[in-house]
Amino acid sequence: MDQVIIRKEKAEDVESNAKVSKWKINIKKRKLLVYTLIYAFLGLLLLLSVIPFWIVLINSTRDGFAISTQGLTIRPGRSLAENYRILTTNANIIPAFFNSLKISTLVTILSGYFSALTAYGFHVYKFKGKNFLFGVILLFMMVPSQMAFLGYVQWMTRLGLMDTHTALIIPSVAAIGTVFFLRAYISSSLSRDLIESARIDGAGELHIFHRIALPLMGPGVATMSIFAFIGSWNNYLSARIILSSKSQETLPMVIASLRAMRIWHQNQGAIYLGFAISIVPIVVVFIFASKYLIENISAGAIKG
Amino acid sequence: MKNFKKIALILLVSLLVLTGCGGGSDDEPEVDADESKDYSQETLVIWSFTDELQTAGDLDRFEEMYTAPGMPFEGLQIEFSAIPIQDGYMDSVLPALSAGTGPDVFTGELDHIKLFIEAGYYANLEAMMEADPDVDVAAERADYLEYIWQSGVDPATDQLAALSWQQTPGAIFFKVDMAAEIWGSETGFPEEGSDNYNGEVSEWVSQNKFNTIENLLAAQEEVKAANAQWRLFPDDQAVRFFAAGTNNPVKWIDDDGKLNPEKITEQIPYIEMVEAMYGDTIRESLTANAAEWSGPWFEAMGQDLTDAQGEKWQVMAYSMPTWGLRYIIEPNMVKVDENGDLLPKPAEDADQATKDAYEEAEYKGNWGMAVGPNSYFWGGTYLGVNADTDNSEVAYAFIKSMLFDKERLAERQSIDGDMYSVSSVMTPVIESYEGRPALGGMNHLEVFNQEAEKIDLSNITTYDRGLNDLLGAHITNFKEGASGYDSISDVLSKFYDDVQVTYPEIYVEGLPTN
Amino acid sequence: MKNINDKAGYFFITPFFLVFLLFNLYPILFTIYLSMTRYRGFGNMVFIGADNFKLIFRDPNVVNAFMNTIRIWGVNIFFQIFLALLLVMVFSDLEYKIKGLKFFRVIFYLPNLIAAATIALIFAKLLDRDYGVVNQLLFSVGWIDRSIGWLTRPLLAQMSVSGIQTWMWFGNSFILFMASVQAVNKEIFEAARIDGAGRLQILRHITLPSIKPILMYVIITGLIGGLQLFDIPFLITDGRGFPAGSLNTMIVYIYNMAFTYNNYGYASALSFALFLLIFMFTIIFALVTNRVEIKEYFRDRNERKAMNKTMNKAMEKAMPGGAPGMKGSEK
Repeated sequence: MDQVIIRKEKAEDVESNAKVSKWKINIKKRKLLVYTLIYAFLGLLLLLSVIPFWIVLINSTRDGFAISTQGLTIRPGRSLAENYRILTTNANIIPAFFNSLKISTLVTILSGYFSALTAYGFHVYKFKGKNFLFGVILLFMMVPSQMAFLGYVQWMTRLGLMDTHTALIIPSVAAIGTVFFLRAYISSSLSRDLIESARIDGAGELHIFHRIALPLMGPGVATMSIFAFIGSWNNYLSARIILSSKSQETLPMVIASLRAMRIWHQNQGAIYLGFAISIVPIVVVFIFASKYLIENISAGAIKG
Repeated sequence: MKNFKKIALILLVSLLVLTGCGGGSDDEPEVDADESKDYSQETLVIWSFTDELQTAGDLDRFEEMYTAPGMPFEGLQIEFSAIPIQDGYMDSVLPALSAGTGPDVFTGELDHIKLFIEAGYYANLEAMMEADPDVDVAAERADYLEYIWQSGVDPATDQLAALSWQQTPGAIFFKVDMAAEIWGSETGFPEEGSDNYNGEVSEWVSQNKFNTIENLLAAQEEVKAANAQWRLFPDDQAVRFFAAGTNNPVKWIDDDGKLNPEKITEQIPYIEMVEAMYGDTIRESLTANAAEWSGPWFEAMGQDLTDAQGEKWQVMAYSMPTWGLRYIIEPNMVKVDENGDLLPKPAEDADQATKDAYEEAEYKGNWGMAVGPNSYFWGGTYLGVNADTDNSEVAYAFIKSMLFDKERLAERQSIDGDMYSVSSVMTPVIESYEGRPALGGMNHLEVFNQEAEKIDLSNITTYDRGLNDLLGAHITNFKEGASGYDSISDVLSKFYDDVQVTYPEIYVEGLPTN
Repeated sequence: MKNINDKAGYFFITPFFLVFLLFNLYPILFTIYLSMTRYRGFGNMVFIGADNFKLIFRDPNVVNAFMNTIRIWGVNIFFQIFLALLLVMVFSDLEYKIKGLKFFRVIFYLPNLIAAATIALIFAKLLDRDYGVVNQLLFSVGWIDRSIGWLTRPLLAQMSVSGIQTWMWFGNSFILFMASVQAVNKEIFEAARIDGAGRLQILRHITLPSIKPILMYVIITGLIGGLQLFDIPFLITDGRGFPAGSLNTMIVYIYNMAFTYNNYGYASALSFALFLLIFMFTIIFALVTNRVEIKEYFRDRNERKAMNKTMNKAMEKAMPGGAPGMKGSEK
């Protein structure tokens, strides 16, 4: 398509000496065509981006028979309530939803708060070994997180933390990436003079952090926190490895277990409803926070 | 007035007996309750890979007998988790056990319990039985099938560590109507009309069509030739049980603890069959390409399959064990009226006539149960007590309520119709059995019983599942024509490569490649 | 006075380092120890030195898993970048003012939000060869007369996973690229246009240079993420990387080695090898990126700063929260 545009552009140069009126008509026609092409292309991508969501939502309201015999439809069916009943009697989806919510919320809060604390500590104070310790963080950023999962399992086993949510939550206190991001963020958003003047007013160090630094770091913390939330909400591998009892299961685990469930036959609509339950909340959160979030992703891309 | 009081008293007493004690007051089980424990603060944790203990009422029964008010473990909580094997039952239970935080009672299939026993995770069940005056170990041992008992014995102590109330021989469930259409004109095919028609057809098919690996393959071709839209099996997983092709299968691991070369050569006809069955499209395939446990796999039990192209396919047979009939196939069977039209299941509030008509209607396809080239078993739930548990008396009481209460077992069997491993339960059942309605009244327990007798569990090792799995992956590659898989010797040499890195301790040089 | 305050710094970083040591560093060291043992998940750990590492060189699955990753990543990264660049050109065009940038950014980012577990199951259902929706559609419009084995032909299965990856990530790349382009002064574009530069020339001389650092970052993190791909290949097949091992990525292989075949020692050795591989790629890319950057755009900056920059981005991607040492990376 780009080449089409370019060729037309060259054609335009040649034609530019032609009569003005004819030129105006041509350019109008041409512009219309290009706009149509571009929007058609965007429309296609839009369709591709949302069509799986659409299929999930529609099929979650249809019964299994309709899905397997009539294929895809545009209009929703009437089996939502029935699907919900089948899903909840066959899968632990509602408790899992709240487990996921609990874990993700705590992960978000812990990683946000402690990363801010650590980044602040590194930025504001000059203590012995500071550069060395920061170098350690830098080094471990390059260690792929999944490398250690076998050791992690054995270690949690010894600590008696297997099959607990704690084993999934506590590590978020040491979110290396977030610390790194916030330390870059803090240097542009917090001046040392502000801290000095607060000290002169007699404020304690922790007080300064809570009352002055944390609010100033707010947008950066919020951005990383939302990504922490999404990451934790969608986390499958570690939850699968750490958790085992039904009462502890998270949403992605229940979703994955739907694969082997007998309700495939009874009613696949119920499976799609399960997908919908895992997708919809996160999409809603994102759409509300999207403007803000994308600005921050963008800002991150530039500042690096 | 006096009379009235008397009547009231009698009523009250009988009410108490009925509700509180459930008629079990005369043979109250012996319980070794720990006086120092407050059982209302304790929890019995049970893990299983099926939800059967819950759905069959075993947990309710235990609560009624032991944890209800006035019972020895009054107020005790029961925490039950069912984690399907494909969702990582073993991934969950093994780390928990090695951390000492495992469940008090946990179940396993045969190869799982071999591993649990080897790792020392099961307590000595036999010692607990001996300490219990209610239980006569020798009598129990005689009552349980020898091979089931033996498979739960810990070789280190020579005593029982785990036991199963089930036996799970397998069979090939098939649609008799389709068989009659395909093979009805062959010599010896039973005439329709006899009372035991389904049983006769099943036997004929077992002896003439499914009896060897070669015939099983030929049978699939004949089904397809008789009707281009028909397939014998949903998927080649259905023939994996016949990989040995004999009732005297060789062990995967030989006496030196190394990979047994004879096991490899034994599998070659099977590998060839799987390759011949495969087709990239259903049209080319000898199966309906409906993978085990997938939606279409279930669907084809009751109805025609519609593929992406809109073509219809019918599946004739499924390899399933005892539990498969009750839990998998029967719920997916459908009934038809005299015209062969689908009869919908009547709603709860339907009138009696509709319900009766449904009850009497025939199952679509008219199912029978045949056997394959060799006997096999699939699944089976063994129970054992965690060696680390703090509540061994409670855990043992649960095992006892399930395994050694023969009245309860008989009652349980009458509900689920499964094959039990206890002869005092099964013998009367098989003798007086009137036949399974879903199989046209055929006495399938008899067939299962004969199959069970041929099963030898002594050759199962903890490596079996892993080795079958590794080999299976390469057979899949071979049948799909993956690059580098031109012959069976490619399959074998790649399998050896895997064994060498996965289980270096059993690998030996110079294994046969053809 | 100042010294006393600065000591407080230790207080601020203590919780982080405590958890880091216990939940991050120790498991890594433990994994390294495990890699030198023979351990079946129960019983004793037998120390066997480097035996597990010797096996890696005899294991054809390792090379296969690596090649699978390269193919899945290569196709994905090509289309991901191609689509993102095309979108950047559309939305940064001076002549045609395309509206709705903010709207489209949100829509294109949506696929990135869903759990890979959910995505895998949805696509497994859609792409099923014999009973799937996609083939059903293709048949009904008459484009095919034979089922396509989206997930059963080895190469197609890899391409399907690439496609899913592209679908998940093109919006993310687009947002990053767009931000970089928008950071460039608009006047530069105007000036180039007035000088008579065509669209391709603008792309080559202004757009591409401005997104080059972020482009490198997308490529590196894509590769590192690709080496750790788990959820989709694990759930879209049967957990064994079928067909023909074409979806057997390193993490799937390690997972099965440990939890299906109970060989924890060898699985740990494989983890360690994977770590070395990723570490190597990170270093190579960091060096390459820096040389180009120094040469062309960051002449005025010193080398160290550029180095930090690459690392900074690499980490942002590698660690977006979740349990360190554990979380499922999707990219």
